[in-house]
Amino acid sequence: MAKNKTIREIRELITEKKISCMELAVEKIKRIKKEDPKINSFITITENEAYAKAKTLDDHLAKNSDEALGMYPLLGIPIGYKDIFLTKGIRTTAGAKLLNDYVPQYSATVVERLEKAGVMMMGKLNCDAWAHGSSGENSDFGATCNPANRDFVAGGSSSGSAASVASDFCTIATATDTCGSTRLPANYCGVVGLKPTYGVISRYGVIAMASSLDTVGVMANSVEDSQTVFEILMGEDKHDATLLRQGFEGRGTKTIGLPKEFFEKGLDPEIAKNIDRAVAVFTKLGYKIIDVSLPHTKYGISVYYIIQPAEVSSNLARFDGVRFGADRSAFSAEAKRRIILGTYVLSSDYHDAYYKKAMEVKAIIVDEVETVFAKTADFLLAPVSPGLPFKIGEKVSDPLSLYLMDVYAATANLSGIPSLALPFGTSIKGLPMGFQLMGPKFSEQELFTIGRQFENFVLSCTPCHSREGGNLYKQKTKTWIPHQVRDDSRKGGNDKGKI
Amino acid sequence: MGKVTEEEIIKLAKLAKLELKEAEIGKLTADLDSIVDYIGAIGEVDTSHIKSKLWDREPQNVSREDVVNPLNSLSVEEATSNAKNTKNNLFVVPKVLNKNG
Repeated sequence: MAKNKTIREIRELITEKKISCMELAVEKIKRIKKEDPKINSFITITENEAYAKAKTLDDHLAKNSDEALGMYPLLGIPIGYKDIFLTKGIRTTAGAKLLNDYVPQYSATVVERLEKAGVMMMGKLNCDAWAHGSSGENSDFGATCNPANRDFVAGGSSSGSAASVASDFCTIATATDTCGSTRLPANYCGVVGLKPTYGVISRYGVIAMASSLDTVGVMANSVEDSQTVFEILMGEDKHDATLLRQGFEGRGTKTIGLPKEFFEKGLDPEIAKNIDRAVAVFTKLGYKIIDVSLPHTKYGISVYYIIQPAEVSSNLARFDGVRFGADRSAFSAEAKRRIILGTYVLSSDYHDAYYKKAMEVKAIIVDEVETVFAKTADFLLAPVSPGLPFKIGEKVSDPLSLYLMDVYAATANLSGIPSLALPFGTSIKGLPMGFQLMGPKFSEQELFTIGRQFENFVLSCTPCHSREGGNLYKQKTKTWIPHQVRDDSRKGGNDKGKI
Repeated sequence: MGKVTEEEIIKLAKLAKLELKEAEIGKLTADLDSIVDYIGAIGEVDTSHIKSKLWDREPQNVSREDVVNPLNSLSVEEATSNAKNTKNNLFVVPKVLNKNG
């Protein structure tokens, strides 16, 4: 986290003329071409576009540097777009061979805003085909490898977004989060991943997966970078009618709730222990830690795997090979599975038992989450994934065990709340770990504030924070008694992925 | 278990306009069966007090003037640029009617 340069640091180098945009673009492209074949985070490298943009920015700086610095908050920042964001004139595949030769005629609103803010596009990033997946292995262009250990998955679906930022190919990357697709790879690769409130960032020009849950996510090297990008992306867009403009007033009691259902059997004990350490940091920072209960969240993944495939079957109906792309025989296994599952839960015999019921259970989950935020806690702290990154190919034959990786991610998507995934600690095998902080709808600024406090504290202690976790946060908190939960989680540690 | 049958998968594939190979039908039947078994757990939740709602917030109407924005419009060439098969500036689509109508 510390070694990759942040937006602020790159901007300083450019402002002080220590590096030109062209020098930076050349350096990044060279690095990507040399190193990415081992990681596979890019589907398309946009070398020419990067150089053209660098030249435009350098020319502007030479002509009137004050104006250029004022106009471009992301001046010269190397970026990658998940290949599910349309980019005018540049092939966009959604990670699917069906769209192998699709060249969009317009760009996503998010892409337009970032380009206008002065970014340099390095390329289009790998992802699970149609964003269907939690490991990155469903990409028709091959799995993305985890930069920390290339035998392991990078997490998905925004696998290339997380891996390219972690590898310092890009400083920031766009991602999407329908059920953890930003947060999970962020944790697996050790970068900051933001899933915003539903309806805050435009999805126009983003290939749809499950429209009632899809959000645009951000991958970055720091919470500050995540905030900078969020502020550029958020806000009204006439092309996405789901966008809401709403203020936020929090409780301001500095209380963090630990939803006990997120720490029950199935959670890897190493992750549980690591979260204990994160909790100790928040205690040190003056936060009060309390146990909360969200009893219906255990149904979240069932609800998600009804609503999402239902919407997938409808959204993917437009791919008929007439106006763009290949015909429907080009869909790969996972897309077919979800289309069939969606068609099943929507079919007349089963509609009430599955789809209608799922919407009702979703309403209960939303109500539980909103009640906790209204009455007891400002934030919720939880694991992102029940397990650590696993070896590429280890789980491909069992789709259900892969679906269950999303079990802790579903709550934020089903209830529309924002969640910030923070990297923290390293496993015994040397793989990145982390956690997520959720807040009420529209509480992004509060999440950035608490995230930055945590990040500053951890960075200031880095030398003491050893890999195996023997560190200075060891003192036990008095406000939280996690032993019961922890003991259960240890017993259940080997059951992850099982029902 | 054993809830989803191969016949159902064949019927669903036809509805979804997917052509499945023999091996795919078997695999999908098994996959769907275990997934449906898992998601069926929601059946145990008492939702009798929930007024069924498809949206978790009141819909807000977002409207705009019905005017052409030339900056946001595609030319015929652009609109058809990704199609594999066009004729007289139009998309060629598969036949949906036979000779007898």
